[in-house]
Amino acid sequence: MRIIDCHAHPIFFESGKTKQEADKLVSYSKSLGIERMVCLGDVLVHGPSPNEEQLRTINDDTRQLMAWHPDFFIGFCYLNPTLGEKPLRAELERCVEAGFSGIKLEIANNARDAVMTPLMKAAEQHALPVLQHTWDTLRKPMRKLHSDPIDTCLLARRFPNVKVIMAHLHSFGVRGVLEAQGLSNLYIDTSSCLPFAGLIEYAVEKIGPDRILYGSDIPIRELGQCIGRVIGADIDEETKKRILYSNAHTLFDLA
Amino acid sequence: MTFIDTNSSYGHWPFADLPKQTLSQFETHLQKHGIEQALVSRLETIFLPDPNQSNREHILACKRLSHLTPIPVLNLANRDWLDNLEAYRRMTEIKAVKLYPNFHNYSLSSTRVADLTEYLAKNEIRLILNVRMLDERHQYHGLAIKGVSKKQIIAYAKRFPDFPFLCTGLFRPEILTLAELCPQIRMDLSFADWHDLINGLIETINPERLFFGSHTPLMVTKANTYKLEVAAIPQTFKTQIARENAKAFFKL
Repeated sequence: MRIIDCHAHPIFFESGKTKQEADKLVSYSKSLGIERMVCLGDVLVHGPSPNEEQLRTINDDTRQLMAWHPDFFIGFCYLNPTLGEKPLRAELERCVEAGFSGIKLEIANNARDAVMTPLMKAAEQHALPVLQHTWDTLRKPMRKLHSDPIDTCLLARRFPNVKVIMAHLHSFGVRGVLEAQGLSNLYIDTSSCLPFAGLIEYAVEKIGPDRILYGSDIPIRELGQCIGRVIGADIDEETKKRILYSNAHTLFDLA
Repeated sequence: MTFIDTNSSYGHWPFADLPKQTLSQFETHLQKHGIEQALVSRLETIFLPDPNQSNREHILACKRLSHLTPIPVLNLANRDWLDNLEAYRRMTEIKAVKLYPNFHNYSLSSTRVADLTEYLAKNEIRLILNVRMLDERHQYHGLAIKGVSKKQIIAYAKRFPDFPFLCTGLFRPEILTLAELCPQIRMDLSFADWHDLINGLIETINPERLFFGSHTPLMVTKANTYKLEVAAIPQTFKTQIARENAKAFFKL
């Protein structure tokens, strides 16, 4: 079984920063068939809206993991769109130069906000995928910062040349899957939440097998449980392989 | 690896489009995942004001299926719970009964819970206390049932310190708190989640208190079997959690 984990936080609230911890995670992950892991950074350590310096520190930590395990970790640059275009571009270019392969967005703002425009233009210019934290916010007082699937899909619709990964299938659920229909530049990941049955099957039925990516969201989640929800889903073996490996391999151009 | 499943249910969940299965197909599904024995309740007992008829049908149906142990659900809001339980015991050997206090709208501090506890202790029948069926953050909006609070569980456990019971559906932080404060509580792992979960739990909790639960059909069965199969813990602990603890506790 070959796996690419497209959603992981190897460093979380400062834990996981040492080489020993990184080595242990890589070794255990490889024992489960995980060949590559997208490292999204310690995104909540400084609260929802980190400043320039805090972002640099977080991305430097990711860069350190990539340096220790260049054939395992794929770095995503963590950005805060509310800081404005100039600092955003400066940090992104610094990360691109260091070999980062995507952009991670958390809960600094909503994906529908105007501050996203410079970021998405920069993503398009560098041909980088954008992974957006997404949550079902229907009638919940959280949408200012948490993007609803409607918002993330709107972002993908506004910027059709940027590949957008809508994170957390088991959070955005059926509504999110239906929003994702027909958006060829939008991918969904299976990360986070508990492994409630039927959603992966539903996603495959509604959007097809090519735009679904395996993700875990470790350390908040347990790797075995996250993999088990895919290999235990009632879908064919070829589709499982695509979700666990091939789709991410193609998206990240790992050939 | 083989399992004894302490947290599974048979039937239809109205808020998820899950495969319709006969009880025999359900048994086959569990066996496919290495579950040799499952303690099974009927899902509809959660929603029915009087779960008695459903329990009776379930006990009869399980008689034909050697890998399923029926666990009747008692609604202690109803005055006839004891008559029903005694009738179930005349139908088959009852290993345990299950409670859903928040679905059936009664408190663990009620007199009936105390009466039931005394009855179960006297008759060597185990209690399974279901804390939640879903992650409250993702419940269907038409079904907003909170989990049984830690405070209630702790108060109940302190009231009956010599009465061991199994809590199903606990989150990891709840497991850590309850394990420390209530030494007689056993816990299933179906809702527990964190990187290197079991290794972390057994740092402070005796593995004898941790039980395998798949929470089938609401959760993907393989997600919970695989969680234990690939855990970075000694094989003896895996076997203990997967089956031996349940085997001893429920006298299976």
